Amino acid sequence: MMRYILPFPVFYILAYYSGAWGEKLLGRYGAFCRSSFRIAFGGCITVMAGGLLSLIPLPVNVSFGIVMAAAVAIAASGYVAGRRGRKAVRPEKDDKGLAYIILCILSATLIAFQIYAACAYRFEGTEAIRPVRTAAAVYEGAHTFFGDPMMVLVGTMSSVMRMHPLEFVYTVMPPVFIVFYYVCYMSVFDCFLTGAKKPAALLASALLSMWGYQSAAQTGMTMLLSWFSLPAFAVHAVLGTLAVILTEAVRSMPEDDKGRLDEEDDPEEEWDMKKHRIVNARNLAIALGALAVLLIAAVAVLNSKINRLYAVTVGLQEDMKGTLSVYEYIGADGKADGYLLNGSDGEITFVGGGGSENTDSLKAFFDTYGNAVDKWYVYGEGDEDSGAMRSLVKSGAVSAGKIYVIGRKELKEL
Amino acid sequence: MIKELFAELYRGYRDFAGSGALPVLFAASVFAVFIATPKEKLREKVPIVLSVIPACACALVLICEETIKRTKGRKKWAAAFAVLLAMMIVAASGKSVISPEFTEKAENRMHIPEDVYESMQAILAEEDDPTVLVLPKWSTYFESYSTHFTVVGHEVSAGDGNDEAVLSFEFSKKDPDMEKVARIAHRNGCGFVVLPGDLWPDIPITKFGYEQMKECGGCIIYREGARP
Repeated sequence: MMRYILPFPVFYILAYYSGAWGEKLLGRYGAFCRSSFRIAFGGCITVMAGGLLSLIPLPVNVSFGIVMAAAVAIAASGYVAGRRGRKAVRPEKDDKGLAYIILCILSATLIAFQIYAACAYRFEGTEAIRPVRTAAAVYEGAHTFFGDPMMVLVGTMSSVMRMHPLEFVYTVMPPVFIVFYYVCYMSVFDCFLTGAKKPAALLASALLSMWGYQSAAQTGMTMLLSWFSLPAFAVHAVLGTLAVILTEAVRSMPEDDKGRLDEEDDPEEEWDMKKHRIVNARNLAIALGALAVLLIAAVAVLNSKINRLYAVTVGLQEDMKGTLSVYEYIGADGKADGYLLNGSDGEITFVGGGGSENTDSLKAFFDTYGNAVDKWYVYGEGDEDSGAMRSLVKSGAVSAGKIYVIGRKELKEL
Repeated sequence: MIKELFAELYRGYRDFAGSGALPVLFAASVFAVFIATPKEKLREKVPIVLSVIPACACALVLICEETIKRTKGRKKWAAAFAVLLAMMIVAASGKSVISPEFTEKAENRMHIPEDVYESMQAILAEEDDPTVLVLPKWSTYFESYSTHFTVVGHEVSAGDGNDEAVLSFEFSKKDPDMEKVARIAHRNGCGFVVLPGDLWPDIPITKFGYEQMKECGGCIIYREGARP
């Protein structure tokens, strides 16, 4: 049980102390570093360093030792650097009202449910686990190699923990990584929002993670399908952390520069507002809002139409399979010399066939529609009526269950 | 020409937007964030575009806040608008990843169907490096479980004319042609064929050089035997 639980505190302790380097980075911009950013930055550093170091081709035990030593070294140096560094002034604390607490509880519940679902439920599609092949190769070979860094790291960890990579991915990783991704989200919200808006945005992002991805191209980065993949790590963790750093860098720009840049824009704005008052920010916002709503509605309608079309097509295919199909055979002389009946129960009946000159073309016909005929009706016993059938059955090119001869006497009296 | 164009559009939509509308939501969110931000603070908000999902969430919160602010005194309308917006987003984004349609309770910690798992173990007990022909939807399980398996029968779009495409097509039918399947298995040197127990072809694969080795729940393992 310990091996399932232990990675969680180990990862977060390492991430927290490694995150002191992130605090120092933000300190350069004079920005205060919250715990969420510290863990996000430290977590990214830990995983990236681990992934890159595990690419060195070594036995897994040696590779694991190097990865852990590097992680501890980064965390320890972060601890020392954090103690020596000068901390930025903490901004005013958020007002945590009832709405804040309720939204926090809702978000936490939804995230906990997502982790439970990721651990306990098996998804229908298997595309998401395709990269695990790399981890399985490391696990079975007990040797690292150059490949997908995330999967080589997973293979190394699972090999050391004596746990199959698939088990590692579905038991150890979801609590660690899904929580980590939400911490990274929170670091973005801490940077851009205040008060109850932060847990509200967290709740919205949790809902988006459950409903927002259904396309083939996004499978590899969907949090609830591919939390262990490299694209998911890049999208959910690295990009958010990078966004926070860039924002603080922009905020730290001297006011003069900002003013100068704004002044450069001002004449155009004044001209715009004076001469075209109808195009102001409010109207533009309304127009874009309406456009967004229209786009979303269009996608909803398109979804419903496509799904209905798909259901109809599937039904049509099933219907076609469940009914009698008739195929016409055109002989060497260009005339219809036979009919293949594919019954609703799958039984194949063939009528006709013609003379031996049809042998080759009839074989090609059967190659297309099935070489096992249950019942074969020929018009006569002579070569002109059953020559092709005799050649094909004798050569074994077509197997015939039962063969019948039917007369072709014309009823002139009617 | 028009038909091909529509086919391409449909493929692009399925591949990149799917039944979810994240790209649309993201584009709308970026607009919303920029519009809701005062000009002097706009440059600070540009990096949020990088964060993708948090950008969408921030936009949703900002839109709701802006709406409430602008309809001060008419809070009922603001609340109704926010609920409507949330509903439209959920509707446009398709079905939940965690819905019964996509998921079922995992039978083991590896999230491999139990009968497939048993089949893999039974085959590895027989041979160290087996070549196996499997149902296309199981190929990833076999390959992710062990690199000792050489798998024939990956999921590919039908119509390419190669063995994988033929298998995908045959197994998509109600009654696959087992002669074709066996021919491909022999050609690729497959010592084992794993098929679901509920497959009822007209002529079983045992007529074409494979004999039943073991039944593991819903899976039947066939081993290459004497050729007919």
